[in-house]
Amino acid sequence: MIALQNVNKVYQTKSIETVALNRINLEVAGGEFLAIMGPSGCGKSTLLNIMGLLDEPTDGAVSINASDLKGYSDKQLARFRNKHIGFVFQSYHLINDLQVMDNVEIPLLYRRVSGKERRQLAAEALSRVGLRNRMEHFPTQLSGGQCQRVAIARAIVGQPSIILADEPTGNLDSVMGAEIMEILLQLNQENGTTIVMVTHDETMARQAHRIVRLFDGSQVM
Amino acid sequence: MIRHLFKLIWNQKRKNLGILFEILFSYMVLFAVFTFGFFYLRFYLQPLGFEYKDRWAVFLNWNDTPGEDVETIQQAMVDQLKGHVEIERFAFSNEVMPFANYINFTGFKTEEKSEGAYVFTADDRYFQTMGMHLQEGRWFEEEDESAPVLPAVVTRSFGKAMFGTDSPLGKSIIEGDNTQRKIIGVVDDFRFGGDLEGRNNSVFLRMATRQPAPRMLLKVKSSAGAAFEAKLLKDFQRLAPGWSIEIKYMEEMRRTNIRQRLIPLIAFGIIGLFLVFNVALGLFGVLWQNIGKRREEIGVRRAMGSTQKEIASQFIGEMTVLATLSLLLGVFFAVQFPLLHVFKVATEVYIAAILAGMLVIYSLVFLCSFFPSLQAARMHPAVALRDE
Repeated sequence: MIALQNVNKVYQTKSIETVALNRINLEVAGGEFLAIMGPSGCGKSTLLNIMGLLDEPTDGAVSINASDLKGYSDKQLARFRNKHIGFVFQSYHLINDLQVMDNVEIPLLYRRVSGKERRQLAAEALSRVGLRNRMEHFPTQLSGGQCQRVAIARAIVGQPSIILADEPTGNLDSVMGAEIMEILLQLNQENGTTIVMVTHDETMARQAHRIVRLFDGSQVM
Repeated sequence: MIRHLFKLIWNQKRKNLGILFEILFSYMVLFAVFTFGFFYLRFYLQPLGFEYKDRWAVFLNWNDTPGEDVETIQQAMVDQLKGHVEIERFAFSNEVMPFANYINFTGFKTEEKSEGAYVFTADDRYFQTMGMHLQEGRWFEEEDESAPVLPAVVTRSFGKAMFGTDSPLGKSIIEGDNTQRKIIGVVDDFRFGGDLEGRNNSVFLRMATRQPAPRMLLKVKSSAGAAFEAKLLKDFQRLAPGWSIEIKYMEEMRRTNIRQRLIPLIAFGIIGLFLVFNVALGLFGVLWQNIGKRREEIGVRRAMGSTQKEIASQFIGEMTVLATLSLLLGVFFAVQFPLLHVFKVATEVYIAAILAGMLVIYSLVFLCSFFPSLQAARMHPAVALRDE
């Protein structure tokens, strides 16, 4: 499903060279729930960004669903992300000026889906996360857990085969965090969605099929 | 996507209200500038009703010379003019002439109506010397000297104002001091105020034969230049040593007239452009700041599958929608001017100004939003999401 071969990521300024990822070789099978752990600054988010095609590796190859993405144009990458990958971020990244329903519809906007169908799919996605009754609310009117559930609805509305979650429970208390984890596990088990989750929380990580640990940009286990 | 844009704009209405009024203000300034511009351009493109090329105006100030002597000297000048091959035609008039600062405005009336008009006193040769155009009837002739009713030639505008669709020919008009005049001819509008002044009601009165005249108008050959001018002036001064005589080229008088009238227009245009430039800078700044504040949104949209082009289009689209809303409001106000006839400006001038203002605003908004939008589009999604 996701394959990384000898992936390096180096951030270069005039005087400093920072190695964020060092020779990462990783395969995530279809339907797998993978947890990535490691201390702050070890390159977890960079790895997730590369897997999500939000960032390019300095060296190495990334392939998703057997497609070698090297040489893809901005438009091709954007369309690929839109179709195959859903994102959940630690700080939700909802657009506060849009209602919950409109936030969830965003990935479908870039698929040229009709308005009626968009609303129907968004309503279904919100039902899955238990927020159908909050469709007309603005993100500022929701709790942190509810915001994260909206973010999950936005990630799944386009029915991607992969969900990349960057510390999805990081800003939540343990109860809300457990609720979010439950939704992610359900998506993985019931839909067979491949999930890669970055977390600091050992308890959460243990619920995944596999844990990959990073230290100073290198894979340690 | 358009619905999405409208929602986004509506939900950010407080932020967008400032931009909306900025664009509206800018549009109203442009509308005023273009109205002025087109108002004068329209005049500039219309015929003057006389020729100014190869026409010279001779300003004669006979100072303390007695009237009989003036008449004799002017007759001698006429005899001399006839001897110059460079002079094709000549005529005499009073001080009121094209591009000059003299006017004579008098009321005229019929039994039904009264109208004001600019009055010119000109001799029988004036019409041909000035290259005027006759519409009906004739210009003054020698026989008019003994006509029982004093003749008058009127412009088309005066005829229309006084008699509507009826022909003014043969009709009588009463000049302010109860002098009766009979209209013997109608000429094209005589825009003596120059290229940047509109049509006026004008009436030409006949200058009696041998009447002392303070202005002499010459139609010279195009080859006549400064050397001939100097010779002519010298000859005239020999005939009238006590007089102050000055020769002016009407082309030069026209240029001076245009310059004088353009100064306030240019000043107004510069102020307008300065205001619009400030608005453009403001718009640019607001957009730049707006994009800075919306980095997170840009990052999310990129992560969700938006291309760079779609991000740029979204920001340009938002500004275009805002500009359209401002313009709807602006056009609503602008349209009131022709509807309510606020000033004496033709409807087509207002329409042209409304359209030109819209064109400039859309171009301005596009230019001001293009570079910030491009900047937003080029923002790396991972960087945009990191800098929340």
